[in-house]
Amino acid sequence: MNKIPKLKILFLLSTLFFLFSWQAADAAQLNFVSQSQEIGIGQEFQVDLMLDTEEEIVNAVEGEIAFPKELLEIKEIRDGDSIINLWIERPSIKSTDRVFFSGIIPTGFSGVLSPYYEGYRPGKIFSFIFISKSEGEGIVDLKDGKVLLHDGLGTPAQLSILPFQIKISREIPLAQAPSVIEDFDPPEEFKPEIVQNPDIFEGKYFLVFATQDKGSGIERYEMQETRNKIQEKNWKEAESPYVLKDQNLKSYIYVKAVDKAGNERIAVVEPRYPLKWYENSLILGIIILGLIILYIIVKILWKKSRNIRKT
Amino acid sequence: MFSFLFYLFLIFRYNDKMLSNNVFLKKICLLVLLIISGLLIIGYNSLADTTQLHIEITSPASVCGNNIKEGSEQCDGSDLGGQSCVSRGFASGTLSCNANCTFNTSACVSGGGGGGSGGGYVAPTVITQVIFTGRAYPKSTVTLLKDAQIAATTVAGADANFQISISGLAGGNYIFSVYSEDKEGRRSSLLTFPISITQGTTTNVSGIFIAPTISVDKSEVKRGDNIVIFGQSVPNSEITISVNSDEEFFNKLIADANGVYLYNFDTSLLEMEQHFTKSKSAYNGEISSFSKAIGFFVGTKNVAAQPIAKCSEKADLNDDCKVNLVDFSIAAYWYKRPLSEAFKKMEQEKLNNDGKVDLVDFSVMAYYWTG
Repeated sequence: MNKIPKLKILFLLSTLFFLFSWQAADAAQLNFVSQSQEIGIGQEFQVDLMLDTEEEIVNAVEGEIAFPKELLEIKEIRDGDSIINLWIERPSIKSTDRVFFSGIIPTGFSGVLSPYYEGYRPGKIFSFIFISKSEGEGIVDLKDGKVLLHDGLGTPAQLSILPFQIKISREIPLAQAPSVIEDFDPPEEFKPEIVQNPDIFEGKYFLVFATQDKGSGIERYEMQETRNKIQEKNWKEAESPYVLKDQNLKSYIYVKAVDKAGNERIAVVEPRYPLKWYENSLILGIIILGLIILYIIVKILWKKSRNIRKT
Repeated sequence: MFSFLFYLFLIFRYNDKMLSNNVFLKKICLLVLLIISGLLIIGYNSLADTTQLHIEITSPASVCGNNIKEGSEQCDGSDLGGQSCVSRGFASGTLSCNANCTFNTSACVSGGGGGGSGGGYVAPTVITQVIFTGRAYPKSTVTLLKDAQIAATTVAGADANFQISISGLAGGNYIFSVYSEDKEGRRSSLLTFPISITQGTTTNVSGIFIAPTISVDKSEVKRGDNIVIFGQSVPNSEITISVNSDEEFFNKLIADANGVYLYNFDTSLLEMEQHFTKSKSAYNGEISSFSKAIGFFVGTKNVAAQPIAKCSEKADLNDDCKVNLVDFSIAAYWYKRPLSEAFKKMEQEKLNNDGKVDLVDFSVMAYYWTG
């Protein structure tokens, strides 16, 4: 007779455990991964923000990372090998204790496949390289995290967030700093596109461009518009979408993607309406120069022939 | 999983005693069994829906520093690949290997003739490529997206098999997607596979099976009349058509030699309400995922379905029949800005209709992405 209450308790507990575990398994997870949670002072260490979709297909993620500014300083943000294809707001180092990010994975994401393992593994959103500043304990947390399902409606996925607890102490010996990424590859090839849309930039022509760098990540884009095909030395930092200066579309447009290791990839957009030969100052200059040279030669020859006639 | 096992253990261990001692427990036990069997069926179905993708590496990565000369390496540590100073054109000396797996000829001695400059460093050619093979529709155009941008297209053979390869990649995580269009211009759903690529390897992704296309001949069908469900897949493949109702109906048929299938579904089995249908294909032991679901209404009259829209009704903000970086840039312009009257209308029709551009609108765009 004593067995029945025990069984009841067992069933109740296992039901609760079962329901809880089933629900937890369904929720996408955003969590922080680092080699150690106990850090010495002045130590550089890496914290990765990982997305585990738990077999859901998702396509958008955003959130705000909050960290104790009195304990930690961000040295670098690495997004080279991110699963995010297009950033709406790229995470960047600011003077606050918050880092906001927002981006999408067009076509959806359910985990990373590889020939080296079975099934799906979580994908990296980006990594922080922190430097510990002073002793203490704190939490690196994600506020207002959102992960949206790939369902055409932007339905929020159930989300669980695991904050990262950190303890900084003088007594902990310094470990090796995260290795510097050796990146010898330029950013991937890309094809900027000239667009016009009545809804933005007062209907002016603008340029859209984006590329990836799987090594160190994209540092910046630079561009120049030139009526001649020859690249100039002056590059100007730019972001997509970029309103073109030459609204007549007669210029060559050069877009340079530079990664964090300094490797460069240049994409060229040919002018939609190339200059007529008489509009091209370079050709005109060459013609004028040619005429001057011809004039000088003719004059010399004429002088010579006059001298010969005199003698 | 552990809770499942724990449950099963409890049920089998104590079932007899419980049933004999307590009617309440008997009911609980039956309920639990029902839940478990239901979940197992759901689990089985979701597994059955998965395309059997195979990913393997056919040429190994060159690992510089493992003392084995591989791939494009000139040498690796002590492994000089049988080369010496003499074979490199010098008179004598000791050839060694640099840390970057190129020859170090600094200890080689030139002959009396002057020796020349010794040549410049030739960077090893490391080819990283991915080869995709699978099935689409006969003679259909297959498009491959790499990180959301069109990377390559190919035309499938008459047997619906296709192969696409791309090279010149760096090592890292890539999100590849493929889709195809059947002979009527119906676009398949996207098949996406995020893959970690290793530098210097050839990765084969095989077993890609693009889901069938699907259409219906009526948007509303009079209850009791037939509705025609049709589309295209692999020639002679077995098509499973699912019609979702309170009860889900499955029907099987074989596609013809062109991969075309057509099924007359008797709607007398269905309630008068909105229903959805989808299809999947099986061939030589491989199974595709389900196609996108297409809706129809069972009512009191027959209404012919609209012809297939060539362009996406959603997310194509510049009406160029593509959802790509341009649309992303237009939406990004309005992100966190008050919308103009013209764009408010656009947001209402083509995005999520909440009067602002935020992450949800970009998620809608990502779903309809074509590259």
